[in-house]
Amino acid sequence: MTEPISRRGFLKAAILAPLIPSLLAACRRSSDEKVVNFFNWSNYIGKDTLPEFTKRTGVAVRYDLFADEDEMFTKLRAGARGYDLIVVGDYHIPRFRALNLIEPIPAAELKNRGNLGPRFRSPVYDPEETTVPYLWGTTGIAYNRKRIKKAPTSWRDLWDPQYKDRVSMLDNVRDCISVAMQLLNIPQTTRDPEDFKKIRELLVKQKPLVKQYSSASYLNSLVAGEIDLAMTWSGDLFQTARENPDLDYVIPKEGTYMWVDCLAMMRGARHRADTLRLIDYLLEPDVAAGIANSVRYATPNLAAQPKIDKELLNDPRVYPTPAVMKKLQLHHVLDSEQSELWSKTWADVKVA
Amino acid sequence: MKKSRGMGLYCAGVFGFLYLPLAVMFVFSFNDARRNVVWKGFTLKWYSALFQNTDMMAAMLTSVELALSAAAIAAVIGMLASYAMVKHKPFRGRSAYDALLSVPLMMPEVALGVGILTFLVRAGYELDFFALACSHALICLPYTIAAVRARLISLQESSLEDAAMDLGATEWQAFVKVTLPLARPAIISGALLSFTVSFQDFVTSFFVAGIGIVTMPIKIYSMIKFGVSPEINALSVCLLLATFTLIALNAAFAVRPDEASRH
Repeated sequence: MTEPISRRGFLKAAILAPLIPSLLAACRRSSDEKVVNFFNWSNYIGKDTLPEFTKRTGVAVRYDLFADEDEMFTKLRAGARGYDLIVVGDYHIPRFRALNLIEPIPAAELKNRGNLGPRFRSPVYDPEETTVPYLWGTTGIAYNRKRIKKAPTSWRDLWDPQYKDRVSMLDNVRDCISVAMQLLNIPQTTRDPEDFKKIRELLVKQKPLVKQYSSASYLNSLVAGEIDLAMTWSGDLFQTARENPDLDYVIPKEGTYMWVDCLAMMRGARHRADTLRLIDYLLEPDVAAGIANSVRYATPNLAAQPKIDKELLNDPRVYPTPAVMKKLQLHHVLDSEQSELWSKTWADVKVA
Repeated sequence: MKKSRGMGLYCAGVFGFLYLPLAVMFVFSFNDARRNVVWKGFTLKWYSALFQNTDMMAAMLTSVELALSAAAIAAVIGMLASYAMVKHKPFRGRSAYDALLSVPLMMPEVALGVGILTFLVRAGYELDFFALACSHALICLPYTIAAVRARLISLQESSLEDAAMDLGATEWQAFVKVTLPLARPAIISGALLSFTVSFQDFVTSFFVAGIGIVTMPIKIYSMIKFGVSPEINALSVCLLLATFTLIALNAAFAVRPDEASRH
């Protein structure tokens, strides 16, 4: 039998047991407060980028992770505080601003903002330049060179009956409806129910050909050859193509949409000065090039271009030619009524 | 005879359906290719990459600490809560109390996660490791209670505590010297369950985790954008082995129906 336990001893243990975690927490908290809290996707940065920053400035960076922009938004909206710097996709920025979650990054305090290419100045999603473009890419078509004899050139090829059951579409309202709009020559500003009817019809017509609507798992299907044609995001495909060199990427002749992930500073950031220092650091040509070379997305940093790997820089799929660049659009900023129409149309397509 | 063979096939089918994916994952964690679809040869490089990946190891350590803490909290609270329900005569509001204890099981975890987050923020409590451990303990509580309560009920039926008190033990002595040691296997088995529940939790962790807290599931999900690397397979195999060990331990500690009367 165990040693007799006194009532007091037991109560003590019962009270102390739940306190173990706070002791653990106290041990893991670092004492110096020179730190920037960075909220980002996993591995969405160069390997040495942050250690180098810490070495140079003595400011540590805590790199926290999210897996989904909507979840991240919900968490911040519910009031989670403490993050200084976050990465946000272009068309999400207006809603972060509308809820006052982010604070304008004062351009005057950044030495290196001028390194950004003209294309990324005063973008539609953020005309006052309160955020800083980080990396960008395009939406396009992935295909298997061995199995699709004639390389796709147009979004129309995703509607070609000969590829029945070999096609996948991104499970993403913005991308699919934007493409339908582009094919139908409908401007993104529309609110006309007739337009949305046409969009729905076009997407529903494609449905029998589509093997899956997916934004992630289709990449495995592409490698395995279960599908041969897919609507995709550029960087995702380049990473996947390392596994299957037959995979290639095209930007359709109609043009396409580009997306820009941006750095945004949280409202009330506790480590404001160091956050600005970090942003400025990320804008340095060497640093930006290091990130782009490792992540293999395009950098909006013009001054960094000479330091980008030659094969990457000369790859028109990553850095499109000026002619193609002209045909790239940013996603339009939707108001709530438009968002509603878009979501509803997309939902109708999915259940049709 | 024929009938039982049909049953055997059916069972094999069900188990195959459940466990084949795990077997595939196991095999492909030794695959010499980044994506999991084509076999390119045997390698251990993902395991060595995994163990050299400091981020991944740090996340693993956080998850272990968190699961231990949550299991400890849930064990204490779960034991006391079950004791109150089994030992005492039906008190006013007992069924409501009972129902409340199983709420974390039935409530969608998103609602729970966002709810806890909103509460902590409104309460002005900083989201730290302790807050997360308590949130996890909340999710674990129904499991601990289920394990402990069944044990306490069978002990109650065997009247051992009453016997101890007849022989001169105070209520407190009877609890500490008789009930608690006899309930220990159930408490341990509840704690082991809690450990796994806490360890694999993503939703609540994501919402309640404060600055600098990255658990294993958060790490894994956040890698989605950049393609899941086969290190994940290696990791999953390790987790799987750990889980099987815990289940085996749990089985070893689990209370056999007749055991209570043997004491």
